[in-house]
Amino acid sequence: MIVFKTYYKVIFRNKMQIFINLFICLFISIFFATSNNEANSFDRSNFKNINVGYVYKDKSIKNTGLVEYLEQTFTLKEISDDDIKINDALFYRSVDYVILINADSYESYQVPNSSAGYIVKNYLNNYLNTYHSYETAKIGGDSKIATLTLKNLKTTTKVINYQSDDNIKIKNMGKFFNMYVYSLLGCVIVAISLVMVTFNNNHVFERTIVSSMNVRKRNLLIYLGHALFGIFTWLLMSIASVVYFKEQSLSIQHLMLLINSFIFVFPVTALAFMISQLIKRYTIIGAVNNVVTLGMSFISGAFIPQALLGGIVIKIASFTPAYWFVLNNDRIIELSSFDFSNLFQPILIQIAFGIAFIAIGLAFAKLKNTTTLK
Amino acid sequence: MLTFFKYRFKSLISEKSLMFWSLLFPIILVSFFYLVFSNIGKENIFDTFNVAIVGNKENQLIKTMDEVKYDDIKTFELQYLTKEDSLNLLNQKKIAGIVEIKNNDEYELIINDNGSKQLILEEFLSNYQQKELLINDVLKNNPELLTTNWLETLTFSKDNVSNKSLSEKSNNEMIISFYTVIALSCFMSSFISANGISTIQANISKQGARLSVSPYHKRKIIIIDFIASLLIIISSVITLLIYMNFILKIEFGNHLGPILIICFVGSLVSTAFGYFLSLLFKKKEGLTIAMIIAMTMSWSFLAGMMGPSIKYIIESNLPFMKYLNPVALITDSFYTLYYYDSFAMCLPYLGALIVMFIVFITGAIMFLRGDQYDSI
Amino acid sequence: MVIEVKDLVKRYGDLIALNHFNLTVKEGEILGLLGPNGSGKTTAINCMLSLLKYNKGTIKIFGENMKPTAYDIKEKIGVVMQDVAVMNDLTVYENIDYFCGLYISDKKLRHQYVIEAMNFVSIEEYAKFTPKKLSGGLLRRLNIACGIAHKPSLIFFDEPTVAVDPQSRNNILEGIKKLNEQGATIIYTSHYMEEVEQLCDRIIILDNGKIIAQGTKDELKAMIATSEKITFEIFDINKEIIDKIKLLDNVIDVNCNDIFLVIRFQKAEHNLTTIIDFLKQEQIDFEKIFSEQPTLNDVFLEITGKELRD
Repeated sequence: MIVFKTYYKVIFRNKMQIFINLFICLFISIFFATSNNEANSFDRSNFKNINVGYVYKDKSIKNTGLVEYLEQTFTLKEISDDDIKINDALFYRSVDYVILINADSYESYQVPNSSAGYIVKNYLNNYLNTYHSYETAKIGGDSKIATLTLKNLKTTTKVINYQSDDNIKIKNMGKFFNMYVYSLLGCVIVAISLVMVTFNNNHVFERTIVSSMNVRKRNLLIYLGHALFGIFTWLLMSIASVVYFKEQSLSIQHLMLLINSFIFVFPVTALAFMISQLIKRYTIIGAVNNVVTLGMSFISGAFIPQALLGGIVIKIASFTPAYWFVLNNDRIIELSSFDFSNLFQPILIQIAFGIAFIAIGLAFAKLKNTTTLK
Repeated sequence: MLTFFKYRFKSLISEKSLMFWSLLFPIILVSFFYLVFSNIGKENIFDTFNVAIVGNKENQLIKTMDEVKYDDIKTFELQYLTKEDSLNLLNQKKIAGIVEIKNNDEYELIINDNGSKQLILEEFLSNYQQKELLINDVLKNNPELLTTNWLETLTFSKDNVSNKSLSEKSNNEMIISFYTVIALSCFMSSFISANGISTIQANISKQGARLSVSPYHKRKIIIIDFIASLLIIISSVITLLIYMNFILKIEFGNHLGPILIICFVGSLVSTAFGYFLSLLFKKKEGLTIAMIIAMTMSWSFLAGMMGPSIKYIIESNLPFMKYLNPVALITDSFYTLYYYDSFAMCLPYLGALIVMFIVFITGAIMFLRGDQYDSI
Repeated sequence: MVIEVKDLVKRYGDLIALNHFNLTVKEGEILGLLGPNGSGKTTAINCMLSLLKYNKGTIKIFGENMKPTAYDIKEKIGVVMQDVAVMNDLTVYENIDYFCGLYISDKKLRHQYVIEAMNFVSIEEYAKFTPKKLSGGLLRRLNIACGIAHKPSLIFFDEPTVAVDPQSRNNILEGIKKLNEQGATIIYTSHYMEEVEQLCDRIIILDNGKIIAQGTKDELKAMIATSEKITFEIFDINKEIIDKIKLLDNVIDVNCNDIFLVIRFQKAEHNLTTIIDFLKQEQIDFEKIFSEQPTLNDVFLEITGKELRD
């Protein structure tokens, strides 16, 4: 147990740097998970958050009607007909969509592939096509057509929506737990690397391997140290999730998310164990952390939803435990009953990754034990 | 002086693991990003999806739903079920929504989510009702029209709005995340310069002590070391840019010069930052590294690495914060260059970066002043 | 036999670091490994400890073949390395506790051993200090404590007194003698012949990976022709006189540098009177006279033509 005890002594001697890193990882995770709103971009109740800039080049009755129609749903801002001002407005995102209203033609500027673009465009076309239909029907003058159009467009289907506020919060909870990929990896890799620099120092290492302590035993004790630290980080994130999500934290989804993330601690700490065999100096910790933590976070779907990642990325990502962790999180969020059958496979895969990493780590350790040192 | 430079340079690049990871990190991350972003947005929200129909399926609405296509792909896959069965499927998220036809031919939409599919369904049904109302209005005001082929000429799928782009490029805002990776690559220099400092300072290493007692002016040593570190990181960034241009085939157009300038200034700041922190925390190498990691990660996050929305939140609430974040300044310089096609618009950012450089290097020099130590 | 090394060969590429090296060590011995830098002392020890792979030969310790996983053998071995091998994040006490803990799992017993080790090397008052705050000598003492705390029966000391002040050095040598008196077998490497002469029962002299001589210090000195070295402090002497001295009985060679005239003699009685008479005869004045027995350096010099300390 001396190895384990000493491990934690070294952690405490490095507590300042470990704490700083922990704090930043948690801060980034929480901030990220609670600031993104893309999940709700198609939610009608959020349409008022879409800012539409318009340039009035022609103030016909048709066009005033158009603006009136759009104002009912979105937040409209008139902007001047100046390329630079339009560019700036989009660049700084003071508007999500810009429409140039000419006499008989309409041009838009938008951020391509954005949901706002699709939605606003639909509304525009709806108005224009309806107006045109009334026009061709030769029912009356511009004024009457505009009135009829606006009245027509007020007709909407009755919708019964069983989605509760709860559901939305649970979606956000899913995003929060997806960030565990970043926070767990980031915290664990940096912390244990700082500790392992001490244990892997050449001369200390030599003294250690000439001792009578079994190399496997020693390394497993070191792994135990990593695991405990991983669990501690998990605990902090989980407390944050309970505090932030309050009522939703009593849901079955939250419980499953906690279980899934707890399992994820295993492959994360095992990976850190494997990598730490190679870290002897402080200087490379930053670069290793960036490659592993950021790389894995991106391709696994922690930052960008898996649904938006392409086939190749998914294929590569499936060779990482983080992908399966996020996949399971996404499945948990969609859970509607107590049928957990599709959650088992990703959990087993995560555990398999953990075992594989530990085995490789032990193999590295054994190799270091028996190879020429000088 | 040149001899000293040669040896400092050699000494820095002999840290093989540091060189390796500093080079590997940006290339790997950029490759991942490239893979992710070349595939993003390809999610087709116009794929066919399942909808349950409850009630009389002979209704004209249902027939229309069955036929509607977008880009030759059928929009709705209809399933005719009982209310109970369809609610079950809805719960299991196996259908996007339920259209229930009541006895009097009125209909309701039942959903339990607010995604794109539900919006499409809602809009379709609303449009259908609106068309019905239109026909009613025509019936009231101009009934003869209905005997002509007017109905057939009606089209609601016309796109009246032409998409334009001010700068003829894809304004995919996710490119911001891409630029933060390049900015972060410049910041790898902090680790290199922090590593270099340990061999110069007497209170950190024996080599440092040896240098301190030599007649060689400390300032000269620092300048040489600075240039050596800078040279290394610039080589690394250039390698990255070459990789991006030739392997990933990312075009820089006529922006290569400005890009190199931005990278150079960014590298200046990061090298100075490494010195600054390393001299601030003196012997505690672990603390220096942890602080560099913490600061660069926070800055990258706030610059939009993990998604641009945080950037816009800061932009609208605390716009001055950007000028305290070197990674954001580098990222915004790239983005401005790309978006506005104008190097002149980057100058305020570059100016702020140079100010930062001066602050860090001044701080570092001040720490160096005390050539005697309490303990070494 | 505690250690039996047969025909050990270790190559680094084209360089042969150990050339058919043979060694036997009896229980309770203090064996010295002497040789200039690069002669293979540390390589030999590292092979014996299974830190290094070797190309040929066998190594047996306590009668068993030594290998990296021979944990029962390792339990009885202690190592004090050439470079200080301690953890900078831990205090003196914690360092000794950790390294002792790799051998002894009983907490109570270990605590006792750690206190004894600290007392043994006289660093008990620095128990709460971290290595960064210790002087070079104290660090060396800590290094020793870490290696011997678990009371091993075979201890390797690899140049433990490098860069240590004379007083600390004496303390270390005294301590090693004490350990031997308590029953430990010691392998001691150094290129300081005085230490080896003072401490070791048996000495092996290495050069270029080969053993060039071994035996007790008297046996080694008897191997060489030189049995006496006489040095005169002379201010005025010419080549003619030096040539005449060379022709005297029992003179092996004569060296004159600056003011010192050094003459090496074979074993014979009255060497001193012979040379003094001669100088008087030639009317050569001299100030001081030194007469020395041959040192191990002389042994080495005669056998290899090189100095031990290069």
